[in-house]
Amino acid sequence: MERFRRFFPPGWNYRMELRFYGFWLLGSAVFSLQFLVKYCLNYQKLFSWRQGELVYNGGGLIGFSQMLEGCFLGFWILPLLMLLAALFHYFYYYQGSRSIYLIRRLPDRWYVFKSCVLLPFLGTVLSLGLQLLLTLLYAICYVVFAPKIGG
Amino acid sequence: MLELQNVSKYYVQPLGGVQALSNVNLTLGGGAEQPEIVGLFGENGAGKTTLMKSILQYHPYQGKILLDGEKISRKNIHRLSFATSEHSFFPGLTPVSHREFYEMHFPAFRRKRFETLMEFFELPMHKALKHYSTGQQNQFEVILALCQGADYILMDEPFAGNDIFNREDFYKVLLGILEPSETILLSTHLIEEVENFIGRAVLLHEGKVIGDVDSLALEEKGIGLVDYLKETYGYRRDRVSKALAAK
Repeated sequence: MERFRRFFPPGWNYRMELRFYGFWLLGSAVFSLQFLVKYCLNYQKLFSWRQGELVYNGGGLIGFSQMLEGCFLGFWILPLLMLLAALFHYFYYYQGSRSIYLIRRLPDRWYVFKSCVLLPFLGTVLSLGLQLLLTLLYAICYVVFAPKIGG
Repeated sequence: MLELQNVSKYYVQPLGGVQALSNVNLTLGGGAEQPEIVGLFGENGAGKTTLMKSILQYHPYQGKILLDGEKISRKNIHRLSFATSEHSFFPGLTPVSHREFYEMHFPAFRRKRFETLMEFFELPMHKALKHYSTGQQNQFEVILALCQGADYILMDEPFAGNDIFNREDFYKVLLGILEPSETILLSTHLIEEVENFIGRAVLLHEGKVIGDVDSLALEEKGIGLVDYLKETYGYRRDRVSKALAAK
């Protein structure tokens, strides 16, 4: 975690912030598993037991996008939190002193960007990337395990 | 050499603006054989802090400020350092962490001078700055400005909160540690204390330079700095007696 220190303002509690992002991403991924629950419930409605046999009732699963609705809420909230974090990072340079005077004298013209914005930006990209990956996995599940009509 | 050419600064405010600086022309440093310590004096609101912040490019201004003929940019900003009464350190960091930060960003950081001054002021190395007293914070702010490795060290009322013994000893240490390439621009109200160690006095009044004199020149005329300031500012010597007479 030490290597991430340079992406935060000096003295900032970066470990706590990184842990928060980690737990939020994990929580968002777990929250998205409701897709599988919806899928199973929907799948079950397509079949019923008649005289000891599992019989297909006809019809199909609800649309993939409909099934996915609301599953990625956690992933959508995270970029908003990241934006807030970027603002907090910047205003940190005005808290307790005016360290912004030092920051504005640094030869590295990208220091404010690197210490305030870069990690929240990368976190947002990671969040969207994870969301995309999960969407792909769920799409594969949806297609592979959907009952074949007529089969 | 640091040159200010017709520098003006106007602050826009809701109920009428303020002309904080008006056509200031000033030259500092420039190949001196010994360090130059320039006292910047003026009443509250004269423009001292605005002048320093303009040099440091903290806000826009009219006119030109050049460092050895070039505009001040990220390429040469490391040659300027700043000690402000508002403090520019990181309150959550210790002096050791500050040293590491400065060494990372300012290759010319003077580590030996840093350790010497920390010892001189008896400041703890491993205590976060937020736990320092105000006087200690002021001292540390000055240490950082002096140790950055800058050629031009701007100090805005750096001695506020320091006891007189610390101040007097500090002036002596300052004269001893500065190198010929270094120039200090020091704004302070403690005129009697600094008059024996500054080489030059620049007087600001309502945003304009109304005086710029060498200490040697004053010495030759037999005038002290305080008397020179009083004369230049048009100090009314009878104001106290008039006030008491009216009582």
